[in-house]
Amino acid sequence: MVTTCLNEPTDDALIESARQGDSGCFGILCERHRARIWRIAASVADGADADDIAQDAVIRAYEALSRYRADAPFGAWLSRITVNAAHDHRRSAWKRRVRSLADVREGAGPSLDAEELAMGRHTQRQIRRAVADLPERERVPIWLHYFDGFTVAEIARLSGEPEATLRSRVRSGLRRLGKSLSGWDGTSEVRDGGGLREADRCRI
Amino acid sequence: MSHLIADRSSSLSEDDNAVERALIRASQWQPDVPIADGLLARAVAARCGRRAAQGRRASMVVLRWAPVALTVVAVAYLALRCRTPEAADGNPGVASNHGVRVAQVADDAQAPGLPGRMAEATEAPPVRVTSAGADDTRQQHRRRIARPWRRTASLPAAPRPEVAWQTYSVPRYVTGVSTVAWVGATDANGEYDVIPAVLDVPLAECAGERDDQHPVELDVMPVRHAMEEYDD
Repeated sequence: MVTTCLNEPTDDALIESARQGDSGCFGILCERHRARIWRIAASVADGADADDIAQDAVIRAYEALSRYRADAPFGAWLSRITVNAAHDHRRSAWKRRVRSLADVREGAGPSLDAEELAMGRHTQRQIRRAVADLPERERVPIWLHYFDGFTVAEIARLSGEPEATLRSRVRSGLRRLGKSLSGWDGTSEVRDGGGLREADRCRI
Repeated sequence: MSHLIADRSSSLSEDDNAVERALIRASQWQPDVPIADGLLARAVAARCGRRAAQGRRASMVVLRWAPVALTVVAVAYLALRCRTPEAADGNPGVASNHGVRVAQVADDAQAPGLPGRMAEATEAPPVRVTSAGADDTRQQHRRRIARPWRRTASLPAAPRPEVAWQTYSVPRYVTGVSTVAWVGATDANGEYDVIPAVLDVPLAECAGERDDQHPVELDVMPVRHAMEEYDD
């Protein structure tokens, strides 16, 4: 279908055109939000894997476009889909790493405080991965709130749930993250790419 | 990050606050490598292209096989329509016509309480057949006669002394209406009766049109006995 989107249309106009079958408009929309998508994909994967996550996310979004409710920010909706795609990638990657985890654990050094760890770029990325590994009910509000800058009210509109419920889930997720990161070791995460204890992985 | 402060719950513990600070720092992370230009748009375009190609392939399959399917259906339909009762009589599996023909039929007053009149023959010897409210048993019976009907025809004409096949003549379209029916008829002894009956009709015969009054002779077994005889 020939794209009819010209002259910097708004997100809403692009969405409307995409819903009417103009995939070109949806492509423009995705390119507009590419930085947001890419930050999520690149947080959990490198190279071709990150490309795959980003592409998988936009295809999922395109197929789910009819279910998008315009009362929530489109960026938040797209981020949620991308975070879930990243999580799915992490789950499949986790399966491939089960064997190496035991070896890594044997050489693990002393635990470090979570705040101390959040200093370097590498650590920042590991924390983002840890969030991507959380259960969806905690993963999505934490990611959208802390990493993508959406307010709890905006996330509530996206999920259709009360703000109090979301705050409770955020607190629950923070506690879960705290437990995960308290056993995190800066040398093991370099090798296994996760930085979480085996027991924490098994809960995901 | 002011929104974080505004949204932050006052009930966060010290540990939670430490995690939250770590999250805020992690939010500043940026990828080393930028995303390739047009990567996402290409993914969407490729997806839509694949979907369109799949749709075209499906259409081609339909176009290629539709004439074949239509031909098969047409041949099967013509074969069914061309199978006349006379032709069926020549088939060794059809019950023979050595019984008593129906002489006359009762009118409504003679058959009170029937569930409803479905058909009435105008050509002598007429037979009225009415539904026995037999939707449930009808399905069972249709399944039964859907088996190779030679087996049905191979049953002894009188499985037990008290069970007798009787041959009635009914309009052909009756056979297309119901195979489990109330049959009101008068037998060769002049006795009129309305009986629930299983019409011994193979499915291939059930093609009568509603205005087809051509008499067809059928062997009929009272349904009560038929159920006993036919149940596995």
